[in-house]
Amino acid sequence: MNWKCRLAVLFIALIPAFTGYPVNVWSGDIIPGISWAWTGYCLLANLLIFRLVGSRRYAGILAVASLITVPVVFAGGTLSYFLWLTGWGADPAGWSAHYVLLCLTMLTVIPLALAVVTLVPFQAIEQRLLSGEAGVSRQEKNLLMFLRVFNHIVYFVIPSILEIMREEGAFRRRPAGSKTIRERVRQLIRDMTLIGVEGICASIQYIPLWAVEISRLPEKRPPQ
Amino acid sequence: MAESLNQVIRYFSTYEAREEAFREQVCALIPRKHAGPDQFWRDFGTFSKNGFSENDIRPVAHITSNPRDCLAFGTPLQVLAAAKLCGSRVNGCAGIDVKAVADDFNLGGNLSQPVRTLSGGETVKLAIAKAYIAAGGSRKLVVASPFSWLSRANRHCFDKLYDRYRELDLPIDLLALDGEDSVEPVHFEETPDMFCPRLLDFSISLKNVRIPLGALVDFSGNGQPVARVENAELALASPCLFLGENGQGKSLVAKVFARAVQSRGSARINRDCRSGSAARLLFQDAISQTLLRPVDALVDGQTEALGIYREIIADIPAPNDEVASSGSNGWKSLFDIKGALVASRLVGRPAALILDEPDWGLSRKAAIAFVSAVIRSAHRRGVPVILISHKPWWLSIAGSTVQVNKIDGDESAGFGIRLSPGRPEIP
Repeated sequence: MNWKCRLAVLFIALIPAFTGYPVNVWSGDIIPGISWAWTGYCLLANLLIFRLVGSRRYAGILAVASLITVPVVFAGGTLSYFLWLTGWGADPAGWSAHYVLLCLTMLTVIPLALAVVTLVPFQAIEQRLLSGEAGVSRQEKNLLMFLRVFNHIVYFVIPSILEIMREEGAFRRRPAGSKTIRERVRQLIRDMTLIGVEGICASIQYIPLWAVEISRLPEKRPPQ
Repeated sequence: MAESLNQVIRYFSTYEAREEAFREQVCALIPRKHAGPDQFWRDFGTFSKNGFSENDIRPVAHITSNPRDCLAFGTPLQVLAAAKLCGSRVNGCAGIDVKAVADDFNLGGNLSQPVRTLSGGETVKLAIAKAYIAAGGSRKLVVASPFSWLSRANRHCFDKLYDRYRELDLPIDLLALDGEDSVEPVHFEETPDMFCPRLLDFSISLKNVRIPLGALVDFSGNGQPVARVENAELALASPCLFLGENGQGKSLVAKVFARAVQSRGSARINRDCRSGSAARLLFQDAISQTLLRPVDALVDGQTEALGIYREIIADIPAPNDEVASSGSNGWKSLFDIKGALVASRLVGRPAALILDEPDWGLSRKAAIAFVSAVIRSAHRRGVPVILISHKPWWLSIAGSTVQVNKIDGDESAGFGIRLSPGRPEIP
C-alpha cells in the first residue's frame, strides 16, 4: 500500500472522532465515561496505526500522545477537584466521567493525527519540487516555507532550548527545603515565559531570510 | 591567494558592528536577537509590515555567522538543487552538476542526509558549496565571520569558493572580527600573566558513553543514530584545551560532561571532593543560551554571581570600550553577556567550566582578554577550565591538551569520538 492509500485509510478512520458517529450514538458504558463504542474505536484506531506505520514509529507516536494526554487530563481533574474543595466548582460526579472520556478521546485522536503527519513523505515531496526544471508554484513555495519552519522548530529550536535548560539543571531535583512552594511556582512561571519567548523568537528569526530565498525560486512555467 | 583574500576582508571590533554590516548586505532580513526582545520585535515588525520587494531580493549569495541558518531546505541535495534553480532564473547556473559539486566539497556521501544530522564541518562545507553554485545567479558574495567556523582543514573549500567568484569577476565581502583570521597562538605580550598561571590538576573519565543523536522523538522508523565516546581516563591540568577540526565531536563531548544532552554510560570530571558533580558549559552560541534574558537577569538574585561578573569585567586589561560595545536599549554587548553567563556558572563551584569556542563573536583582543579573565576567576575558586577550539590560539597557554577525533563506529554506534592526550606542533 503506498502512502496515499495509507493516508486515505487514516482519514476514514478519523471520521468517527470528528463527527461523533457512530461512537457517540451507541450507548452502553463499561464504567461511567468509558463506553464500549469509544473503547472499541480507540483500540481499533491504535491497531490500525500500528499496522500502517510499523512498531518503531508507533512506539514514538504513543509516547508523544501519552506525554500530551496525561498532564492535560490529570491537571484538569486536579484543578476541578481543588475548585470543588474550595466551593467554586461542581460536584466531582459531574465531571469525573468527562475527564475519563477525554483521556480516551485524546489517546485516539492524537495518535491518528501524528500518524497522518508521519505518513506524508515531506522530504520526498520537497525533493521532487526542487529537482524539476519547471519551477515552483506559489502553493508549493508556501509548502516549502512551512516545511522549513516546521523542521527548524522541531529539530533545532526545541532541542537547543532543552539543552540549555538541562545545562542549567532545570530538570534536576533541587534539594528539599531550598525553596518555598511560592518561589517554585514563581520560578516555574518565569522559566515557562523564558522558554516561550525564546522559542518564538528563535523560530521566526530566519523566516525573512528563508522567505526571500524561497521566493527567489523560479515560478512554474506552463509545459511547452 | 592569501594576499588577495586579505584584500576583501572588512574587520570590525565588535560582534554588534559586524552583525550590523551583515544585516545591511542582506537587506536587514535578520532581526537582531542579540539586541534584546524589544529590538527583535521592532525588526521583525518592519519586515512583516513592509514585506519584501523584488528590489530586496537582489541575489546576494550569503553565508551567515552560523552557517546552518542560511540553509533553507531539508537535505544537502535540496539545498544545492534550490541554489541551482535560483540561478537558473538568470541562466547563470546552466551546466552545473549538483552532484559533481557535492563530490568536489566531499559531500557526495551526505546528499540525502537531513541537514539537522550533519556535523559542524559538513554544514560548513554545504554552506560553501551552496554559495559556490549560487555564484552563477548572484551579484555578490557576503560571508559573516568565516574564520570563526572554518577550521584549517576546510580552508581549501573556501579558497575554491573565492576562486569561483573571482573567475566570474563578482565582488566578495568577508566581514570578520579583528584578528579572527589569525592562526598564531596567543603571544606572551597579549596576556603575560597567562604564561605562568597557577595550574589546577583534575581528571576526566569516560566509560561506555553512548549519545543518542537527532530528534527528540524519532518518526523516521529507522531508530535514532547513536555516537559513542571511547573509554578514557586522563589526568589533566587546567587550563585544558580540547582541540579538533570541524565536526570531530568536541561540542558533543562538552555537552555530555555538562549533562546538556542525554547519554548513557559514565562521563565524569574528578577534582578533589567535587568528584562526579556536573561541569558547567558556556555554549558556542551564547546569545541563544541567554534565553533572551538581559545581563541583569542572568545574575539577578545571586550576589556572588554579580560579584564574579564585576570581577571578570574589571579584570580586562584593555579599556572595556576596545573589546565590547555598549549594546542598545539597555542590552549589553555579547562580551558582557558571556561574562554574565560564566559568572552565574561559577557560583556553585562546578567540577569544571567548559568554554565552547570562547572566541565566537569576539575579536582576538577581546577573546584573549575574556578567556584570561575567566581562567583567573575560575582558578581563584578552584574550578578547572576546559577550552574547546579548532583554532591553535590557546595552545601556548594550555596546561594540557586533548585532541578530539572522529573515529569509526561499531555495531552499537554510527560513529565514535576519541579523546587522546598530547599537543600538536605549534604552527
